[in-house]
Order: sequence, then structure tokens, then C-alpha cells
Amino acid sequence: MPRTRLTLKGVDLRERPLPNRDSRSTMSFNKLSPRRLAILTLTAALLLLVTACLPDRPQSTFGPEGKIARDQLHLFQFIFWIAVIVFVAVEGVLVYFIFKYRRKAGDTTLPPQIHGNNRLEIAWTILPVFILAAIAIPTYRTIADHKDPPEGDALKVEVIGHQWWWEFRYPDLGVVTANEMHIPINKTVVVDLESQDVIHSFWIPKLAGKTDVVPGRINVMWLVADKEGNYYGQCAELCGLAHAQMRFRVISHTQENFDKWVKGQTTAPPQPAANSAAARGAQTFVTKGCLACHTISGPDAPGVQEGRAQGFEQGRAVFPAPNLAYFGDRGTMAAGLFDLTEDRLAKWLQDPDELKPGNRMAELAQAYADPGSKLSDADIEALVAYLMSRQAVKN
Amino acid sequence: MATIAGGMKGRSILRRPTGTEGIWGWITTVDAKRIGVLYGVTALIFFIAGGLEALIMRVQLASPEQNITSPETFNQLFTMHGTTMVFLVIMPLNAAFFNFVMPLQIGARDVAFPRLNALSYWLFLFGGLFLHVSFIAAGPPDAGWFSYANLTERPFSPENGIDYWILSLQLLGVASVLSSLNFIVTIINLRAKGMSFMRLPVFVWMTFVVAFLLVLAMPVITIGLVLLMFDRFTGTSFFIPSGGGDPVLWQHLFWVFGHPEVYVLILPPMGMVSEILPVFSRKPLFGYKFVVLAGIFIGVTGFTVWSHHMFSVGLGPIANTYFATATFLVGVPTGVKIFNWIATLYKGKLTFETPMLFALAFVALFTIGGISGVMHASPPTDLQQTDTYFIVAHFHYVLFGGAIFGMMGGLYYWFPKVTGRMLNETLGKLHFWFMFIGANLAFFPMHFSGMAGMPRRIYTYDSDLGVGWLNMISTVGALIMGASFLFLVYNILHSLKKGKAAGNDPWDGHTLEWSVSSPPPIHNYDEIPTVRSNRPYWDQKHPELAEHGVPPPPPAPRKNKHIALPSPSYWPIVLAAGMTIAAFGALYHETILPVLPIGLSIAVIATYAWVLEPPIAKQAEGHH
Amino acid sequence: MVQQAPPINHALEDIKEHHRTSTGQSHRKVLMWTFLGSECMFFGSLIATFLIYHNNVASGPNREHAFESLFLVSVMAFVLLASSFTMVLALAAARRGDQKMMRAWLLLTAFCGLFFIGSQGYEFYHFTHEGLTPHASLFGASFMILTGFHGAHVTLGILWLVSVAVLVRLHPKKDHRPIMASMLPKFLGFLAGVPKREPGAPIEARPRHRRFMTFAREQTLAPPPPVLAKDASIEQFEAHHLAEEKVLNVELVGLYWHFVDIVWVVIFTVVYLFR
Repeated sequence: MPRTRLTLKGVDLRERPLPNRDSRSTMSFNKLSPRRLAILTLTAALLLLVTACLPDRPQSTFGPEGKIARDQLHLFQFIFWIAVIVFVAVEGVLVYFIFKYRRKAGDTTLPPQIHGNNRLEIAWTILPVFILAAIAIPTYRTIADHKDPPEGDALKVEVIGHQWWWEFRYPDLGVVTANEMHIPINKTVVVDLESQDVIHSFWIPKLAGKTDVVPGRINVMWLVADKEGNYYGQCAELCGLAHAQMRFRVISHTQENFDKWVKGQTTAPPQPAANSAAARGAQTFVTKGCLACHTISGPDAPGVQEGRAQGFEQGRAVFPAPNLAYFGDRGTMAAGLFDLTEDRLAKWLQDPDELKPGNRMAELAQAYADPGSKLSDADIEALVAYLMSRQAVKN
Repeated sequence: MATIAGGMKGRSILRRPTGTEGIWGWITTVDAKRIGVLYGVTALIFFIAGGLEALIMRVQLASPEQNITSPETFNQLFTMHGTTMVFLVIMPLNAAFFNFVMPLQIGARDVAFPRLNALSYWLFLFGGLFLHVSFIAAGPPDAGWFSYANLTERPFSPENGIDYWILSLQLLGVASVLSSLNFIVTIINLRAKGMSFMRLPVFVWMTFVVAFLLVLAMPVITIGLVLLMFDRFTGTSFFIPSGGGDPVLWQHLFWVFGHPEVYVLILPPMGMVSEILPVFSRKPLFGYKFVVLAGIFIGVTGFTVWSHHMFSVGLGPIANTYFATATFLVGVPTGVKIFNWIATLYKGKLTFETPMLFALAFVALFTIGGISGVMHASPPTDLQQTDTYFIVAHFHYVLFGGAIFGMMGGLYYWFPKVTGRMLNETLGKLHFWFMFIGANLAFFPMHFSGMAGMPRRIYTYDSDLGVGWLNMISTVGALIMGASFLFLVYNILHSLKKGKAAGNDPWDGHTLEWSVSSPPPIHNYDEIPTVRSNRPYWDQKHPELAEHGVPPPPPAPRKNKHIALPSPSYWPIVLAAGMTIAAFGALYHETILPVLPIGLSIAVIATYAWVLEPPIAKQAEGHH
Repeated sequence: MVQQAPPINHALEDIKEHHRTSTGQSHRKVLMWTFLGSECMFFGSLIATFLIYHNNVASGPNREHAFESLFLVSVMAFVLLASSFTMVLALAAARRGDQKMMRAWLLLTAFCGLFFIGSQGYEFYHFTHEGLTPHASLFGASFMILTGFHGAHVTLGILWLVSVAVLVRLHPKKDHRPIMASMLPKFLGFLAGVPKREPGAPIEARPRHRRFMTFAREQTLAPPPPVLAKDASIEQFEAHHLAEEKVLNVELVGLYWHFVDIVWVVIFTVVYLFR
């Protein structure tokens, strides 16, 4: 029976121009594989380039500023360089073989029929075991090291995940705030994570990797910040519509400044002057039903947020909402989405759904759900004045 | 010519169908090869849908703070993209190859249960369509392919999209369990004489392992889905914390299924690559035994590593240490496979036809995916990487760079056998290079955007993050990748009509399927061959180099040879339709129409009719 | 004189090839065993769910209270286990070619199953009155889903047993596989309580004595499987194969039924006995 054998010519890669003529490779097998080598070099260049500039990024895991994140990065770097060696070795041999063992034009003979080699098999079964053991040991060590916070004085913070904002409670200090977590530097912060609705994930790339925020259980993690700074954080577990915009900040202070902040948060905010725009705003805040979800006078009473969360699950038009007692002090608004400015706030009050699609306020609040209660421009102006005036007494 | 019973012309709706032509021929077919083609074509159509979903997402993410899609649409897109690619593209494409190639490779005339095979296909098709009906009926599901509870519970997902997702997965689950049972029995029971297990082609071995994985893993997700369904339909609280439920239980049930599922996706392409590399190196596969054992080991280990998807859930240091260790262990057999593939090239005489290019790219890209996998097998580093684009990069290197590249290799390799015509090589190479460059441009930068702090499943990101340019590269790569498939579609359509005739054995193949005509006759083999090695056909062509002696060539078919083939049947599609109608009934159980009982009745009637009709129809039998 | 090799009966060889399996086991049997493996994972997941939630009693009664009396479930367990025994007897009867007793044992098995399902229905009704409902607590929900799914398996098993009892004819007269049209009236007639007497049942298979021991010995007698003669004709081969297939119909439902029983033993132990 005649067999048709296709003897299609292999692509002659040598004659093709280098995709990147500038690649300055010094590797010795350059002459073997221009194309692959170019890709490799390009990749390596890209890699260096990217790693070089990444640490500055506000959520870059390459720029740790605290113990946990730094340990995680060091472990990553250790594994990464082993991986690079494995990568170069495996891909190098692959590419080398591809060029070395191409069939020559016109050659129709068969190569030696090698079926295998048991010694080699054993060798390359054992080799990865050693490599993986080398990775496993520091892994175990880091797990053990991060298991419990170090002995000594620690700040306790309860983080509660909500669709789609973060609540921070300081049970020992009597402070409740939202979307901006203030911590002292060089002090262990023990974080209890809870959720009142769905699963979220708490992540401050420069300070610590993720820990999920699971309703019905309390997860504990800890972190330390080395220096003063404003760190970006973001929810990392899909939690519904505005998951992409469930961000937050961690602001680290010296102990002294942190104490000042706490003091401000525990002193009742001043009442607006009579007949001021802010005073009108205070009234609007009540008449438009904002109080159904937001607290405005100091920390929430215990159980309030839980009640709202349950109410939502039972179908009532309430949802746990950020405590606005010291709103005017915040640097950001709408869960770390924007810097807080009067313009933004006005826009937000006009149409929250446009700035943060899907948010619960636009869905549930009377002012947006019921056309009859729509906020007028004057209402918005008054509310902005009132909210911006909600600042802690400076001391 | 031998008499082939079962393939007569003529049909009628009331009588047992016997025709194999026209649309009814396809609807009632029980021929594994035709069912394979049905799987393949359907999967490629779903592939276009899933690919377009990905491209829309990539365009939305090209620059920071864009508003091309709403967050709602974006959530629906990635949910549908993931679900489609896993359940409606890669799994059925694998099933397409299983159906067409596996019986041929083991010297069988069909699978063990031809009608069951047809049922699996129709259930898969209807399950896939069912999922897509949600686009019109309810708005597609939007909680991700993993649909973590309790986001999927009524208070947080009141729409029906999730219900469509649940029920569609139930149908698809039944389909894949049935087809897997079928493949297991086929491989155990229908091997040609002399084809011991250690002579099975690696692709068949991987089919076997995958079938076991599915049979054992699918029930677990089925239970998860049932519990979720009870929560949503009847108000229990299995995953609702306020009712005492634990959403983490869903994650366990999902990943006990989900991790073996990942191997379900990748092992068959590994099998295909293990077929392609030796043929185009003109050598046997290096270390056959070890490649097979590694595959089995990967399969078994698949059930012991599920919680590495849950390092951030807070299961505690002991659980994390265990699952990290188990995950590291998977690296060993995976490495063994890669080393053996590379060693197969050693001293070979390689030629670079399109299937070979895809197979080599598979090895190169899968290695990258494997290495990045080890990086987040370590819990402390995973805590920074999980749920970021680093993970997206990792599993796209495994599932696109791995599974899709492998299957494209398989497509170019077996297309001549399926159709009798070669795919065009120039177009094939264009397809390959566009896809290779596009995939790397799209997925490689994702490692960096992930490490730079870009989470997954976000429809927009802040320009402060500084990952805009990385995303732009990814988007450009994705578009190039998308364009590459235009070459494939054109190539297929063009070659079906004008492709070069393939002949029986265009690649100098090793395995039995190349010994028969292209396309193969309906009964595959006139005489079932006898097997002495794992390259039975190659040994016949090169007797001087045969490892275990050359089996005698199969005797010339007798004139009066009688081969009984199963007859076509209506009942598989009717039963599948009944189950699908029942699923609709369950979905709209609050309406007055008795859709659920109607669907179930159809299913019951079809089952009895199926049992009572003989596999081989009387009118076909009476022919000889 | 050179002995001539007997001519190869090609038609017979073709049929043999058609029925050949690599392991010698029937496809359907291998399928059933694999399927039962899958079912293990199914019930395993349900039992795991139960074990996770069994202490979560919320407002409903707790385990001690709900399972105060084990009398009914013990009887249920006993009846279901006994049905495994009658199932074995049904298979033995099928192997003997005893159509009548096969049918009797199968229906008795199904009846035991019915008793089980009825008791379970009563139990559910009772529990609902006690306040143990799927909505009362996760203990209730996971308990009812686990036992409910087991009950669904038993129900399917009953349907299957009855179908086999009605449809499998060990000694067909003409038509090997009855077609739907001719079976449906018989099936309906059977449901209405007028089972048709099997004309072809062999007389010698009927119990000669009424004495229990003889009866018991006869019923538990499983003869060695019939061996096909080397020089069997096509007709003999086909008849042999057909007979095997029919016994297999009984054997398969038996495998399934035993599995469902074993699962109940596990459920009984894990759910009712472990506290």
C-alpha cells in the first residue's frame, strides 16, 4: 500500500530577520536560535525593566514597606530565581534540540529509535524533588513565622467588609471609621476580619498579602508598617457589582500622631453654626433619610450595622453604610475611589451610580429610589457643606 | 466487501431510524466518529463565543478607567468566558478527540455504548444552549465560573442568571459523567487483541485517567450545586451564614471537583502532544512508561491539592502547609513529562509541520505555566498573587498555552484523518505564529500587572496603579490571538473543499488509526488488528526496527464478513431534550405550567423506549 | 491419513468477535461498577455535608431528641438488608432459569424497598411535626437531603426491580426482546394486578415439596454457569449469549440494589448511631 508522506519543508528560521535587532545578548547559543533567543532576551529585558519600575506603584508587591509583605517578597524572589534557572535550562534545552535535531533537507533515513533510559528517568524524578524541597523549607519557615503576631503590645483592629466599602473598628479605643485605616508605625497591628454580607478579601500589597473576609467566621492576620505612608488596599475577592471599586487606604503615623488622631476620633465633632449651610445640611441629612444607613454622631452603637445587614437580607431598603462622623477629615471618598473634594462629593450626591456603578446607596436610598425625594441642588450644596464640616476637633 | 449491518438507508419517524444521511442521520447517529465531529464543531462555535467575550473584556481593560462595558456586563462576561471555555470548549474538544481517535487507536469499532455516547453529546449541546438562553431570558450569571457562595445566594444575586448557571452545569455534569463511564468501559473492554494497558497510546491513557477524574469529581460539584439550588429555590441555608451555613463549604465542594477538573482539561492535550512529538521526531516517545505513570500520578494527586485554591481563606497554617506540600509534589510528575517530551526530540529528525509547531509550543508554554504554578504553590507568596492577574497569567499559560495549543496541534494532526483532506500548511503556520505571538503578548505581561497589584475580576482600575501600558500590551496580544483564529476558520472551510487529499497516513503515524482510510470507514476496521507494541502501525511499516516483533498484517477482509454495527436511534436526543425541559421546569418551578413533570415524563418514556429497543435494529439485521 | 482441520465457521467467528470484550466481562457490568464508584463520591459528599452541619440545630430539635427512638429506622434497616438477601435469591433463580421465582423474589425485593420508602415518608412526616424541617436548621436540611437522596435511589431501584421483573423473560418463545408496543399492555395489566402466567417456565424448576428446608436449599442453589460447547452452532451461541444477557439484567439491578443497601448501612451508622 503506497503511503503519502508529506515532506513539508520546516520553516527556515535562520534566514528570518531578528524581531529585535537591538537585543544585546551575550549568551553563547546565540547562533543556534536567533528567534527564540530574541524572544528570550526581549523577555529578560522586559522583566528587568518592569521589575525595576514596579516598586513605586502604589499596589506593587515589589515595594514592601512592612515585615509581612517583605517576607513574602523575599520568599517570592528566592523561588523566582530558582524558577528562572529551571526556565532557562528547560527552555534552553528545548530550543537547542529544536535546532540541533532538525531533519536535513533530503534526509529520509530514520534516527536511532531510543525508547527511554531508566537512569535518566530516576534522575529527573529525583532532581525536581530536591528543587521543590529547597522551595518548601523556606515556605514552611515563613508560614510558621507569620502564624502568630510577635509577643508584646499590639493594636487591635476589627475590619468589617461590606458591599462595597470597608469598616474599621478599634475596640480598645472606641473608634469606628470607614475606608481609611489609621495605624501607628513599628507596632504590630492585629486585624480581625469579618464580613456582614459576602466574601471579600483584605489586601494591602505593600504591607501584607490577602486574607479573605468570610461571613460567619473571623479571620485573623497581622501586619506592621515600617514608616509613615499612605498605602493602597483593595478587595481581592469578587464580591459583586462594585468589586473593582472596593478600595481603601491604610495611613500609618508615628505613635504620637496616631494618638492625636485617636483623640480627635473620640471627641464629639462640633455642631455646625446656626443658619449656616452646614446646619441646613444637617437638617437635610435627617429629612432625606440618610440616617437610615449612615451614622453621623460618633461611633456606631453596637449591633447597629448588624441590624442593617439583616434588614437588607430580609428585603428592607437599608444597608450598612459608612460612619460619617468625621467624614470631612478623610482624604478619599467612595471607598478609596476618589480624593475627597467638594466637587466630587456634590457629583456623588447628584448621581452616585455614575461615579460608582452598582453601589447600594444609589439602589436603596430614598433620595435616589423615589423621584419625589430627589435631592435639589440646594440640598446637595447644604449636604456638601455639612459633610465637609464633619471634622474632628484639631488639637 | 464485508457486509456492514446497521447502515441502511431509509428512515421514518415512527420506525427505528436506520438512515445515516442528511440532518436526520446526524441527529440519530450513534457513530463515535460522527459524534466526535459534532462535539468538535459545537465546541469550536462556543470557542468563538467565549473568545469574543474575552476580547470585549480585554478592550475594556486596555486603559485604566474606561467605561466601555458596565461592571454588570463585565462580571457577566468573565463568568460566561470562564464557564464557556472550561465546560463548553476545552472539555468537549477533548471529548471530540476521545470519540474520534480513541476507538480507532485501540482497534475498536465504536465505543462500548454508542447510544449513551449520543446522549452525552446531546446533553452537552442542550446544557450549553441552556446556559446561553440566560442571555435572553434573565441576564447571564455574573458570579464567576467558581460562583463562590454566598454571593450566589438570593439576597445578593436575586436574578435567574445563577439558576441558569446551576442547572446548565448539572446537565453538563451528567453529560460528562456518562461519556466518561462510556470511555472507561470502552478502554477496559474494547482493546484489540494484544493491546495490553502498557501498549495503549498515551492519548488513550490520558483519556482513561481523565474519564476516572470526571467520574469521581463530578458528583462532588453536583452535590454543591444541589445544595445551592435548595438554598435558592426552597430557602434552606447551606451557604448562608445568617442561617448557620458556611460559604467555605461551597469552596471545598467546588475545588474538590475543580482541581481534578483542571487536570481534566490539560491531560488530554498532554496525551495529544505525546502522540505528535514522536511522529514528527521519527522516534518513539521517550520513557513511555514514565509518561503514563506520571499522568496517572497527576490524576490521583489531583484529588489531594484542592485547598491550594484557598490559601487566603484562613484554613490555618497546618492545612496550608499540607496543601502546599501536596501541590509541590504535583510538580514532580509534571516535570517528568516535560523532560520526557524534550528527550523525545533528542537525536530525532524533526520536521516542523503545523501539528509539531503547536506541540512544541505546548511544551514551551506549559513549562512557563508550570513554573509560575510552583510560585504560588507556596502559601506566603500565593497570598500576594492569588486573585491577581498573576494567577490569570498562570492558568492562561496552562490552559491556553497548554490545553488550547495542544488541541490545536491535535486538530491539525487528525484533521486529515477526520476529513480525508490536509489543512493548508501556510495558513496553519500563519495561524500558529499569530497565536503564539499573540498569546505571549497577551499573557506574559499579566504576570507583571498582577505583581504590580492588579486584582482579577475588576472591570476597571485606577491609573495610579501604573499598569495601563501592561494592559495595553495584553489587549493588543489578545487581538492578535483573536485574529489568528480567522486563519484557522478560513483554513478549515477552505481545506474541507480544496485541501490536498490526505491518504491513509500523511504523517508516517505510529498508531492504528493511520492504517485505515481517511476518513475511516464507519466500522473502522475490516479486520481488527493484532498488537505487539505501542507503535503497532509503525512496526508494520518498519519491520526491521520493530521492538517486539511484527504482528502479521491483518488478513484481507472476507467477502462474507459480517460486522454488526449499532443502529441509529431517536431516543438519545429525546431523552436529552426531556432532561433539558425538566431543567427549565425546575428553573421556573413557580409558574403554573407543569413543565417539570412534562420534561421528566419525556425522559422516562425515552428511557424505557431506549431500553426496549435492541441496539441493532431488526430491519438492519435482516439485511444479510 | 492427514487429518483435515475443521472448516472455520466464519459467521460464528464474526458473532464471537462482535461480543468479544478484552476482559471477558460484559460492558454493562464494568459500567455498573464504575458508576457505583461515582456514586460513592456522590454519597460521600452528602455525608460530609451532614457531618459538617449535624451540630447546627438552630431552632429545631437536636440529634438526641430527633433520634430518640431508633425502632423504626432499625426495622427499616433490617427490611432493606433483608431485601439484599431476596435480591440474591432472585439472581440465583435467574441463574437456574426459574422465571417464576425470579419474578417473585424481585417483586419481594421491590416490596421491601416500598416498605422502606413508606417508612421514610412516615419518618419525614413525623420529623416535620417535631419541627425538624429543612428550614428549621442545617441539621434538618442536611439530614433530609442525605436521606432524601438515598430514598430517591431506593425509589429508582424499585422502579428498576419492577421493570426487570416484568420485562425479563428467561425463556422466550419467539421474540427475544419484546418491543415496547407489546409490552406496554402487559405492564399496565401487571400494575392492575393481573400478571400473566409465564407459559414457558420449566416444570422441573418449580419446587416439588412445600417443606421449607427443601425450598430454601433450592432457592439458594446457584448452579455453575452454563458452559458453551466448543463446537456450538451459531444458534447455540446466540441462545447462550442471550441467556447470559438476561441473567445480567437481574445481576445489574442487584449490584445497584446492594450498593444502595450498603449506603444505608453507612448512613444508619453515621447519622443515627454515632452521637
